Amino acid sequence: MMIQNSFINCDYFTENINAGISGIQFVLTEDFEEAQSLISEGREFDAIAIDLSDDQMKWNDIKFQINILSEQAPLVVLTSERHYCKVSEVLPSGAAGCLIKKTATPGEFHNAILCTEKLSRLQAAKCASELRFKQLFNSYPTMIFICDPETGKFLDVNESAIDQLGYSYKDFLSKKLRDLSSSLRGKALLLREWRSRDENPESITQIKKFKAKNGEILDLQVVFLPFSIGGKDVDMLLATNISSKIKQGRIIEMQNERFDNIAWTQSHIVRAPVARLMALINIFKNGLIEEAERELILDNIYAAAEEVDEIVRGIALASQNAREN
Amino acid sequence: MRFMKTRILLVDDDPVYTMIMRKSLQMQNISAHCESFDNGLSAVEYFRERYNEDELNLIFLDINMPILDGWGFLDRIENFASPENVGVIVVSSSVNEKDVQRSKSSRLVIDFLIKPVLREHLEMLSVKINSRYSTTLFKTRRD
Repeated sequence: MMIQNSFINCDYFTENINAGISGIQFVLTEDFEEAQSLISEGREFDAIAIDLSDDQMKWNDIKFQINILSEQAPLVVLTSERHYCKVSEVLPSGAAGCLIKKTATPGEFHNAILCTEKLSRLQAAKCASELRFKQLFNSYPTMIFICDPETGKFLDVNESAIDQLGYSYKDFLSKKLRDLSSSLRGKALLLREWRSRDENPESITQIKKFKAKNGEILDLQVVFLPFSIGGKDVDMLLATNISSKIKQGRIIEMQNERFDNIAWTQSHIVRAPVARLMALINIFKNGLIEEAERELILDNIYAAAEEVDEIVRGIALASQNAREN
Repeated sequence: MRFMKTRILLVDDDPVYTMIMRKSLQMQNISAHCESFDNGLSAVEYFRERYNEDELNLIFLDINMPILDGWGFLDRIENFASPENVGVIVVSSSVNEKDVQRSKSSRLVIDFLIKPVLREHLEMLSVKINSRYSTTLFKTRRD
């Protein structure tokens, strides 16, 4: 795979190599993101060449990119004479070879790949450990996002994030945190916001709304962890989807509200005429009424009994209607 | 008796229950002035106008009423009434523990009676009132 990474065309270099070594098939990509996307789709390459001869390069990003790519295949960096020293500084030891793009011969290119391959094997133990980490990273059920702390740009995500939010790996790499969660920023920005509001920067667990690719809004509990990849500080965000928990909580609240309503109805509506009946019968029994009031009390007893009957019928009807609806 | 006069307010929208309460209080041989109201608002207005610190005020208060319920009545009289000379007895058909707990949060409420209020309930209440306000307004069996 040949990563052009600049506006300077690499055709001269690839033709030159093809002229000297037959059977090499170059797959050209425009930038690091496109290369990462091909790798994440399962494409395998015998070697990766990356062109770092552009004057507009951001060296911190390049260091990170080279670290990631050198784990995938023998990596050869092509650069200009002017940038050679600078590029050498950012190369991980033994994981990448470096050639001057204009003057590199097919033989030098071949040797660089062989040399890188050999040195890479010496680092197999280290790579195995990193591979285990990568496997753990991808198989971890919690969503993990690696982001640029300044810009909030996604640098890497695990499979759980892809499965649960529905975006492809390439989608993620083209987005920033705020594209998925309007109020969520990189930690550096968050810390600045917190400090400006005199809030505690230590409390970095937040519940945020995230937009999944299908448009669904999910409630995610997000924890920020400081992390470093290849010497570059990044934000690691662990996110758990708690939408169903919140939904269940709301259902329980609604149920409790219904129970409260039932308790209120039973206490104030159903029990009122029952209590009146009991009190009327009680004064009747205790002989507290005069002969003239006797008829009035009996009428009230009957009215209270009718009221109970009406309420019970009403409850039965309401319950039947609720079941049918 | 340190109070010059005792006033009893029956606040309940159920006229039958008000009649029952009047009869039950009569049984206790009380001679206090007794007024009844069918909603909290008219009771508050009456009580605010006549409130006097030298008088003992006993209020039998229902919770569920139109216009202003028992809780609303309590909120409004809390502003000016003192527990020294005002005792509210919540009388409700409610058996809901929440209502009992809520009534306890008022400094004016001295008891919560669940309807129907029977003679024995009033006798226990009489003992409580006589002791709390140093009065013999209610005749108990011991008297």
